[in-house]
Amino acid sequence: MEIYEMTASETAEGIKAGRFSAVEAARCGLSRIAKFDGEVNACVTVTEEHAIATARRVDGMIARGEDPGPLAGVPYIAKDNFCTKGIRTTCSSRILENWIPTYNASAINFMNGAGAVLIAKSNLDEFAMGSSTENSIIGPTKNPRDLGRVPGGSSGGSAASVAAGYVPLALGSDTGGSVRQPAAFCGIQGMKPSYGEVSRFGIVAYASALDQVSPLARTVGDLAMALNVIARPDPNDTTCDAYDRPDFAASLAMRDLRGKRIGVFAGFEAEQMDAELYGALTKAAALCEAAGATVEPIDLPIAVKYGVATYYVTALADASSKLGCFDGIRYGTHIDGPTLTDMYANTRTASFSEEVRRRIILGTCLLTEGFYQNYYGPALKVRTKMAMEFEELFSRIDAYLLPTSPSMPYPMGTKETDPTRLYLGDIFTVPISLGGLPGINICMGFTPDDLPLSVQLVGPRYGDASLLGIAGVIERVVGRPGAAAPRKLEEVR
Amino acid sequence: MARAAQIRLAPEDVDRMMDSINDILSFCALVGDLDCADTPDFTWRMKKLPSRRLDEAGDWADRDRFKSMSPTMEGDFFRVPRIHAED
Repeated sequence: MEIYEMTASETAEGIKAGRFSAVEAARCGLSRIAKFDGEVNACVTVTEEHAIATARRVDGMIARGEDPGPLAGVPYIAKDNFCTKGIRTTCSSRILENWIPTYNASAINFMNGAGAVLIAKSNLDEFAMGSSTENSIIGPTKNPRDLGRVPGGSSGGSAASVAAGYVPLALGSDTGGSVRQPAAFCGIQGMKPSYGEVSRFGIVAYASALDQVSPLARTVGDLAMALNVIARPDPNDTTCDAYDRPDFAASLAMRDLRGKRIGVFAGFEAEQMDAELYGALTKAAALCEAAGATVEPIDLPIAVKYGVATYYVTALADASSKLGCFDGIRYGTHIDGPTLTDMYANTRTASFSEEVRRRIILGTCLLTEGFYQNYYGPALKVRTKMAMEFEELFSRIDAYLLPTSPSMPYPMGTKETDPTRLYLGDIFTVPISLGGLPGINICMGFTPDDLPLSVQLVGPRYGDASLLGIAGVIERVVGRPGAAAPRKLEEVR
Repeated sequence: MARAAQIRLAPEDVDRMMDSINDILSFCALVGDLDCADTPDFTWRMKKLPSRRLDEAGDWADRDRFKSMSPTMEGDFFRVPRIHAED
């Protein structure tokens, strides 16, 4: 088996056992990037020098008999909205194109502290606003499973990096589905943890009321391994819960689903989504039943009907406020003007793309007198209703199966131009974000054309460990399809 | 609204942007349809509140590099353009 085919746990094990070195693992990832990223375009910045130096330190520790940590020498890639000390962090935006942070995001510190080796920063939709990774200063990222299709977004660069075998593990951020949907489009596993589980310190915010640091990997076991490293209290983030986390990997000892109650989404007609994805959902439900679970169809009337509208009101109001700091003074690009307000407007107009400008203007609008009372205020109450609906749901069941996306990865450049219809692509992911629930995208297999088929498994808030256990059982039954390398990528070369 | 957001719109972009924003607002008006009488605003609940870290001043080795990234410097200070209202 080649190093790039290994999972994160196999890579760490191989390095610790001396079968290969951390430097070899880093060079393997870097050579995959050199070989394929001209086509895939998943990486904004390749951190070769930093990676080799870090890998040498890991090898040195092993040579001295020290333990570098659970992710010893595992190469990883972080979405380019994670602050990385001394390494530029662009958010794929012109306004930050040359910004070099002076500190690390907490999640980066935790990964580095566990022995992981950062080899690149990955592409995203500008400021994480989008679902296709086409809206970026470096151009679109392509889906390694089919280079004519989008990888999803906004963490499309991270998802594509894992699918293309650059790294076994990547970090993304999920606000309304930005990790689960690209994981689904690229045929890997991706998990949004419960809100409050992982520190968001040092992540350039899109919407702080929703953003979550989220891992992407080829197996559920690697997601658990990553969560064990990044989910911990952090005094730098007051929204990060201070409770003692369980051992997330221990839940993978679950062998079957006997005694588990699984709900299956029943509020959407089969013809309203791609037939293959409806088939994947039905298959997942049948597998859960065969593994011993009690399965019952359950509707979520409030979350599905009001989720997208509530999400966009909440997220855009938050975004307009958060992106106010990008004014040409404190960060990056600066375009002068005769007055301060001219300078602000010149810089922001020239540096934000149309989608970001639209969201900022809309968010500003939603926070003004009148609109606040008619939109933002009601959205806060609808969100409470949705949380109550979820609370009732999880008083009856242990986990809930629903689609991740209503559609398969679509061809590049054919993205919906009507923003309202485009936003409806998030219909199954945003309610989970609004409820602060953990959600995992599980790859269920592929079509004959190698396009991935996925489902989303959701649990109660702070039920991350048990959710990983159930996801692990489903993954074992379907034969770990997320670990499969993209067939067409090698053919391209 | 664009002015409040410190963003300029070219005349040829105004109609298109207004149309898309109005479409989104029409869709989002759905949030007013659900009966939420006596429903409180949403707030996050936590298992255990984090302790606050101490706000302590310390040495900052990167000060000069950070300053070097400022758009314009005047001596040891950032320079910003004049504020219109004070002109």
